[in-house]
Amino acid sequence: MTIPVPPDHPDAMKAATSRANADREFSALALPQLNAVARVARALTMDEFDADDLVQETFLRAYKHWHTFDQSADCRRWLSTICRNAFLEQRKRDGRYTAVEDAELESLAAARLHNTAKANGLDGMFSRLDLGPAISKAINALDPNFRDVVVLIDVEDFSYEQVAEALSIPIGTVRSRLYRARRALQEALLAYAIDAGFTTAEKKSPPDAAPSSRQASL
Amino acid sequence: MTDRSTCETVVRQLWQYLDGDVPPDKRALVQSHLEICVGCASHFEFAREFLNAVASAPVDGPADDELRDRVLVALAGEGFKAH
Repeated sequence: MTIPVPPDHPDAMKAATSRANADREFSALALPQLNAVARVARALTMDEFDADDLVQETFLRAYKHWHTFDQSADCRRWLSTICRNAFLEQRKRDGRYTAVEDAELESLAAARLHNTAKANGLDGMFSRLDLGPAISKAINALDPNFRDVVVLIDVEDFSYEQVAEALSIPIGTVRSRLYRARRALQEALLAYAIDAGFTTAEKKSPPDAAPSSRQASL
Repeated sequence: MTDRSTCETVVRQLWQYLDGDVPPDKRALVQSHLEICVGCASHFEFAREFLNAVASAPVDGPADDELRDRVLVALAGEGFKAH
């Protein structure tokens, strides 16, 4: 049996101080990531209620293991990993989708879209313009199946394999959804940039009328 | 080689190349082509800038006050005190 340490004992006071420090750090670093974790959880579970449970579980685990967090590391990534692991442990689901391999066609579509952007004077739109809010809006507007994959891979930096495992879908389906989601985002953002008047070309071209360069035929 | 069929072969690998998902032999072909073909290189650059913009877009998450309160209550059960 353990003999309780009196609250005014130096050891107890030291423990209380270190706990308060840990709580302060946790408040400053982990809690602000709640939205990011909620988004990962929703992408993984595809269900609002399951997602909330997963967020809670993630923060409980993170708090219990806070002493293992390297504060020079990216807290959001650390929490995402905890979230994914918690999800994998909880989940019992089978794959339901058939893979469609169309990476190459989607790549060609990306080049065509680039040609359209160039024709509208928007070659540097992603580096020159602040499209952050428009990107977030476009991501949220995607079909959930596509949104989840693009959020997990392009925003949260999960690998194809991790997403395939987490969502119980073949890796080919992950790719296929990812590339289609990217295309949908690029199209939405290009339309946004043109509508917002960012274009610098004197004459706008219709989407498929690319300039007369060799790449135009791609 | 900057003939049209090479351009198409290379551009077909665009997403997988940027994701580090092409086998080493194909990777070398893409890499060497991009060094000499400005047109293809610009497609890759545009896509790379797109990916960077997506990765750094602000989080517009679904979390709300109710979820935050719920998490804080659960943490309090473990002895956590918010600061």
